[in-house]
Amino acid sequence: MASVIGQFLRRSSTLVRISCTVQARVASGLPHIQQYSSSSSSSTEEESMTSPEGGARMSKSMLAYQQRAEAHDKFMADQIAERTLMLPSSTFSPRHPSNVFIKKKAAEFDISGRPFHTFFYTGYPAYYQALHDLGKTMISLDQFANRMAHLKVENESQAFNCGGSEWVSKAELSNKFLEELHDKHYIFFIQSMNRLIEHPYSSRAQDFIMRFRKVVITTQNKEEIPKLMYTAEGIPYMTGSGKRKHTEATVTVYGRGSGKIEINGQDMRFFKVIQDREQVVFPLQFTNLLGKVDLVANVTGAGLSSSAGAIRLATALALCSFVDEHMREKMRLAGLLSKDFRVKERKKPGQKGARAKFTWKKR
Amino acid sequence: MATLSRRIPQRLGWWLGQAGRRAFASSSTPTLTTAQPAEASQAPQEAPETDYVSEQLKKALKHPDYFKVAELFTVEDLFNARVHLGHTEGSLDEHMSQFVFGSRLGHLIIDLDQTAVLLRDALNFIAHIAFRGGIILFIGRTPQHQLLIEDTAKECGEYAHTRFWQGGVLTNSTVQFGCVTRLPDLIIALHTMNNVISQHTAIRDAAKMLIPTVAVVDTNCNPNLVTYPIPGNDDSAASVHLYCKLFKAAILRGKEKRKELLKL
Repeated sequence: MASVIGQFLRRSSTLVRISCTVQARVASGLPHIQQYSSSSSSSTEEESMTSPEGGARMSKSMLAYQQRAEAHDKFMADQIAERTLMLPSSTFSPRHPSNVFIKKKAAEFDISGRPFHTFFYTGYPAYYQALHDLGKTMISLDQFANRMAHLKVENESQAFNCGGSEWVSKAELSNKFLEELHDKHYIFFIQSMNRLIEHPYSSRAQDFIMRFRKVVITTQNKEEIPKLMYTAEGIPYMTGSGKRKHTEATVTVYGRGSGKIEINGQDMRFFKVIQDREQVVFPLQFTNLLGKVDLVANVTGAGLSSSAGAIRLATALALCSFVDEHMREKMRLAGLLSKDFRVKERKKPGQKGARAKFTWKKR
Repeated sequence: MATLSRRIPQRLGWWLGQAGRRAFASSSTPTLTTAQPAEASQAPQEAPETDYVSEQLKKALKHPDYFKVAELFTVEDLFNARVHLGHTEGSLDEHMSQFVFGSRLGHLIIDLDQTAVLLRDALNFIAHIAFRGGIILFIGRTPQHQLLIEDTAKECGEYAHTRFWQGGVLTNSTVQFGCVTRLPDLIIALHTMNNVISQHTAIRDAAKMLIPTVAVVDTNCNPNLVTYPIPGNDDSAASVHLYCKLFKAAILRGKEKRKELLKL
């Protein structure tokens, strides 16, 4: 690609050069006839003109000029070729015609003036065709449900799972049908489709439904859960660390324990307030591991409640390795795995506190 | 209630109500009223092609029942499909009183003998239109019969409009569709009402544009603007199924004859 363009540029640059020489000659006051005769001469003559031997027919300054022009051409060609290589190839690839020309409706009548589409006179044939198909799909699903009920077949719900996809927008639907839809059309269509989705056997109509849904790429990327480690005695353990306010905690959870909790070398009485103790125990309670694992926590920083919060987070993260995927998801939803970002807001000058103001009387 | 139909002279009221029909009949001989408009619009197009075809088209008109549509149904079929059941006495449109047989338990009963005659007329007309390659548009605004009507239209290769009727589909078609558009040559209405109160706009617009209409009119509908009214129940699924079946059969018969004719 780049080489082709380079070739083209080189060719065009020679053309430019020739025109340059012509102009220069005009500027130097040579008669027009001579100029024409030289430009219409054969290519061999042209070559000789550029060669040093042809200098007899050319002034010194002209030769210098020509050399400069040539050098410049070469430089520019190289530059452009270099940039072409650097740019992504998509920039130069020819655009597909479907992107350039907007899709248009094909002819709608035959030679006798009869429209092709049954719903032509509605003005929105493709749209109403989709609604018609929707109605037929609904009827077929109802019939299937009746048959199942008649045969007394009891299955788990076969409803369409709409996770990971959403309805196309109004503009996209209009594009799909090649018809300018109004809001009322779009709203009615989506309402009808939602009714279809609510049908207990709607997964049977998945192909039809997915024609009007687009897949949403989920941004949730699953983090790697570290695997359990084992001590020399074969006891599984996992370490987690958590932060809260200005406190950092490192917790090691040992499996096959008796429920011992050690915080900075002390037991649970490290915390005086009941709420803090509850905080520490909460992840264990949540995962039903209270009394089955031992905790060894190391907390640095100030404040007891923040220590409790930091231990809670560190414990929960360490416990992730002990529990299954389902429980991990439950823990995430309970907010156990996310850091509490709240910190004390600074006091502002001229104010009593972060937000509170001094008492102020007008008079 | 039985006296109701006697109060209005039997055929006079019917004739007075036929504004749309008379518009067509005005330029034609009384004997050929039924299919004259179709001939008037179609014959000049076909004539230069082959004399034989135009002759056959004319000949078909002289036959009382060229497509044998009379055998498509009996009065008993109508009765079984509950075509005779009308609305309550209070909702009767006075122009429909001529087609009322009587009333039972407060509900009107439609005279099926009259219905049968008018339905045969209408079927014959439909078949003739199809025979001449006319565009037939099915309309109706009841959601419960939408799919059925649309399917019927599709099966006989014709057109359906059972959705929201934009004002100028017939009267402002060039603007509506963005180009000069061939309008339907016949409109078949399975229901003439949009809802309980208002009439379908297409009935009025078709009369304005001199498009003939075939319509099932229940006792609460006004048949005045309809070219071929068929008094009958337009709400029951059984009766709508029957109408669709009959209309489809008539259209297919007309088309079959057309195919035979053009093949020669």
